[in-house]
Amino acid sequence: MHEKDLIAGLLEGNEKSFEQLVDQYQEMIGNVCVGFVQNQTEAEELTQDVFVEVFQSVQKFQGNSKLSTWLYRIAVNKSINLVNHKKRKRQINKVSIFFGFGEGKEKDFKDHGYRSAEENMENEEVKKALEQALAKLPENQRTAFVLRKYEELSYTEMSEIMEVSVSAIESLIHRASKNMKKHLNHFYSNYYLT
Amino acid sequence: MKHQDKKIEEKVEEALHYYGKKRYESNPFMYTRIQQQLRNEADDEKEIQRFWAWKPVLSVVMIVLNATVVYQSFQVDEGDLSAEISNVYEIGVNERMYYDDYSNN
Repeated sequence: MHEKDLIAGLLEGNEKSFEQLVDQYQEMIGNVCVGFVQNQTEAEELTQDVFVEVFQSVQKFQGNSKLSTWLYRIAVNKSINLVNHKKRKRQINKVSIFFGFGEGKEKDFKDHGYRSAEENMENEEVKKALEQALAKLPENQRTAFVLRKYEELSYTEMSEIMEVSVSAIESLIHRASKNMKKHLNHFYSNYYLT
Repeated sequence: MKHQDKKIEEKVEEALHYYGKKRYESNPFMYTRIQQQLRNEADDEKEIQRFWAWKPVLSVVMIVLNATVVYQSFQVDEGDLSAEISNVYEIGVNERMYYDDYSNN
């Protein structure tokens, strides 16, 4: 279905168009969400939320940008909210543990000694490292990094989604890569020291 | 120490290389899940609307209750006032009698 027809169908509240939208864009939105949360289940929930919001606010879509740009924006906002929420929860948990009444959920992947496959353990470690390093990036750097790495979008497309200039995108990606390296370095240094 | 630094560097590179490799796997039931969520949200909204539909009735009940309480409190006050007046009157009569007795003596 052509994008214009799809949008027209969505504005009319046509169920077939909505089904088509989900079919066509689920993977794209899901990939953005995975980029932020590094977890399939959470990414599915986020993707679902994104489509629900699209359904509820499609009347607000003015058609000034491409449909995909609008969808990217919603996906990015939802993912950032979830990441920030998890970050706050982690901080609260750290404080709780410090005062001795936390649930101890902050236990590292190192504690998961029961995992039989070593490969699984390795992946968990990398996922955890990436998740924490990403969470430490400022929002705009994080968004630029995810969109570039997961969606391989051009700087122009990214500048439309993030509503900043192309040069700003270049700078954001450069700084994001540098900071990711720094945070990952810090993560692994702590890991090998303790 | 140098060996450890190298290992950390390798791990960082490995993590950065891994990033972007994990792709989202499309869920074939996504549309059904979305429909269900929309239905649930619509039900919740109806429930809230049903609650607020009772708002005018609740307001009238609250006003009537308040009016009753205020009315009753006034009634009690009036009773207290009349008791007070009669008490004062009685004291006055007693004093008067005492004064009369005193002046007669």
